[in-house]
Amino acid sequence: MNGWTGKLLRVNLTTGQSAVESSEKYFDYIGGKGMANRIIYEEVPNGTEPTAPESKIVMAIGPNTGTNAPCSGRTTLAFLSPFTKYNAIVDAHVGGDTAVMLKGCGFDAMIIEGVASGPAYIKVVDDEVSVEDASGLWGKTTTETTAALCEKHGAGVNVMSIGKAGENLLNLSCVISGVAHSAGGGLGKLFGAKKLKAIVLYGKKATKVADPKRLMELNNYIMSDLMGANNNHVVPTVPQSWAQYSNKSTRWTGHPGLTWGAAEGGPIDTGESAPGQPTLMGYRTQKAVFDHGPVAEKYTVKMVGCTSCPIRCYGGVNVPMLEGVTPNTTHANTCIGNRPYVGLLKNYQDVHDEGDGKLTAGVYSAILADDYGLWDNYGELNATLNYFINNGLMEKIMTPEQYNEIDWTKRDTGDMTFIKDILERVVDGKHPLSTLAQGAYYVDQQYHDLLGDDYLNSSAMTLWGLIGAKRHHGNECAAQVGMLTNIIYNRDGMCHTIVNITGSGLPYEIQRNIVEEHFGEGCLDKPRNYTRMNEAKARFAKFGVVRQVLHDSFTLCNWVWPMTFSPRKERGYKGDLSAEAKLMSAVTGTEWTEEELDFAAERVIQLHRAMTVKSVGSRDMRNLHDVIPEYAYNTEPDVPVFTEGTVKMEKEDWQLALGMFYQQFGWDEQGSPTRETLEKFGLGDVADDLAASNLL
Amino acid sequence: MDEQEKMDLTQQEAAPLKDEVQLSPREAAAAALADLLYSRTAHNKVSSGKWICQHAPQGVERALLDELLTAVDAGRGEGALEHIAMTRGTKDRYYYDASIMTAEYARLDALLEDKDILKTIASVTRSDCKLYPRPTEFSKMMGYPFRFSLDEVEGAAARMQLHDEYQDIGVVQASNGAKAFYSSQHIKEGYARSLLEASEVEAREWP
Repeated sequence: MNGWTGKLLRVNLTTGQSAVESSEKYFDYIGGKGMANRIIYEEVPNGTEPTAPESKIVMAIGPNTGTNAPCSGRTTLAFLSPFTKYNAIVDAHVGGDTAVMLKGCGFDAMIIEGVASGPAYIKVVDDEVSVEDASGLWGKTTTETTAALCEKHGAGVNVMSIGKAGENLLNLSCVISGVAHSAGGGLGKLFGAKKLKAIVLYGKKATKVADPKRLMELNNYIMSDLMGANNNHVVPTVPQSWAQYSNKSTRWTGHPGLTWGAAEGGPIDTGESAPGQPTLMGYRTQKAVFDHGPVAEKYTVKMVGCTSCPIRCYGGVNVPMLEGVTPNTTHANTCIGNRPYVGLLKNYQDVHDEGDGKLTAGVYSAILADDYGLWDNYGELNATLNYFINNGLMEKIMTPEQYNEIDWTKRDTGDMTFIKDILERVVDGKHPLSTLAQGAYYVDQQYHDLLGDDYLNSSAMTLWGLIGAKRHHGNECAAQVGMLTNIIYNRDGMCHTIVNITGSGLPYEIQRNIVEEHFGEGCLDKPRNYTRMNEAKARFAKFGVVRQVLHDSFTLCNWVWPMTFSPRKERGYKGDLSAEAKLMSAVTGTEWTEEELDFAAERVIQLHRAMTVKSVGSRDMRNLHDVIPEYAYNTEPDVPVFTEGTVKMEKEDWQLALGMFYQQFGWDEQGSPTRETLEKFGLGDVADDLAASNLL
Repeated sequence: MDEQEKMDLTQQEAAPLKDEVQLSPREAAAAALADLLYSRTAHNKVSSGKWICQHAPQGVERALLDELLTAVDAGRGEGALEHIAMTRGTKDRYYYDASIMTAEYARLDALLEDKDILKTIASVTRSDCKLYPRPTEFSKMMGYPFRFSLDEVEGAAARMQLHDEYQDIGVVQASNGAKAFYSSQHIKEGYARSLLEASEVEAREWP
């Protein structure tokens, strides 16, 4: 068997027993997200509480995982959301080396079920599976847990663990792989409920590839001709001698004179790394500087990242100002994970250079959050904390004693220990501040008398939906297209297909001309100069989520894929949207077309939507699930909708957008899959299931 | 390396190169000039006509140099100069190897070589506003390869208001205090401000 291993591992924490089963019946769902979603559908009854013993966690990878295809080191974990309304199915995605280790152990997926009698961890070393006692690890940070298990089982093992947030059953908790890669979605709470402190993986089995030569040629082609930098930004941030364009907003930050300033042996210049130089790709993304600002240069040790990824999007820094403040002064993370709670401070205390106070506070908050296993939910927890502080609500949810215990003046003076003062109470589990880490929907439920209708609808929260999910590249990114991609996931829309296009750095005209070839005229508006909804936008939005789901199933990293654009002028900057199908064919030995692979990915979306309909308990997804907050219609009040300078949306147009999007997927006017559609994707059993529940 | 390999190598070194071609003095001069310009281009620099004359390859007469460069100016670079291109600045003509440098970058470096900050900022701003569209952040002008100081950029913004040819260049500010230039020839002030707010504030909050 090529690509897949054909096996899945079932671990029952109640009994401590494990079993190996065939995974072949799930191949129609590709792997990863698709496989995990189908298993949850079959094995976790609708209406199950996310933390109930009957609830399960499925961790899955795909046929591409473990090959050397660029950016193939992703893992998907599927489970019931503890933090959004309806507790529908969600996925967490994580990088690091978890994926390749699970594959190396010989499994396409691992099903975790039951509840351990006491703190436990799962150990899978090649074929040997056991449930071990974790009593000595409970209460430890994720870094301490990882270190302890690496010391016990060998430095090469992959450790996924939870911290206090998961142990104390916070909805906004995550699982940390290694010491930085995070699997969010509230997964930490499910681990905590199962008394599962950690998973240790170590496997040496190779992934069998049908045509290694073809795969190698594809890899060279992809890395030389298609890939740019992080998020497949294909234009460098500053003018470079080889480049026709530059764009300050991209993540191709490396350039002559910009270094890894704290590199071992002295600064390393990131220089120019023109297309066609795969061995220099690791210098393209200087993510510490992108995330923290120019001051981060001299603290940058190197860039790090996931298995099989040439991009290296994690900024590894050493911040001596944290000496004695945190257990160690080094950290690596990316994006919002680099500074999740720095926004709690109003000012920052610089030490040596302008800006180093904010950098230090950012890394400090990242270390704290990762050690606690506290999930920021794309900034939602920070926004909620600030919402309560700024609106004078903290006094109302705490006793006077609790309130006065906190030195609130630190916030104004920029004393970063204020972040710890807040977060240690948040992860406590019993303190009133812990209630703010339930996710926006449940926060609103608990405090609606204080919040009224403003909180969930506020621009301070920027949710995509009233189910309590954070906007993640929504209407600020390609208008209705971005917002539509958000409604699919029952959590923040972690779809990067569209934002990778709008953020590519290419001039608008070039972007538009290329994507219009695929999706039709009018699919991509100018930035902040939107037009009304049209069918081309609906096709474009569908493409966005289909490819995202494909990537999380195959697996490839949707933070880089698909290759819509290329950095090469001689290609007219056109990428290659068939690259995934070519990889699938080379790996599995079965020829796949782009359309066939997209169809398989869409099957996963159809299943996911049907599962969501069951969780909602109604076919009326339009009015119960796909509802966006009021701020989306009210932003920039002085600028009329559909004119230059606003990202605001219009209510009537949004309803039109939903209808067109539903049509693209073969859903009815209420946004629910029809029998015809489900049967087209081989999901007749799901149609029967919906019908039995009066949902078809 | 074994003995046979050593013997083969010795024989190859001793044998006359079948493809060795004798270059004419003109061709040799062109090749030397091309090497010189390639070397500078590889260091991300265009070369002014004045600089080339000062650093002319050994043995290449000024008259021949002028002839070769004039041919490049006309888009007819001879022999090894086939890849050499010229971009015209205010103070000089600037040459570069187009096989490793884009015309866009060459024009930018020529602006920097001309050392006219007002023209540089205006040119970049007009291009940004027309092409992308986007305003041109002050911070961009302070970074590679411009490297102007904040005082220079602020001063340029003030001085541009006094010049008729830069009356289309304005300044907008984001809510975090970041400033940018925009050209009213290509985008409106409100649109420029909105785009700046998106890149400087919102994109940082929601990366």
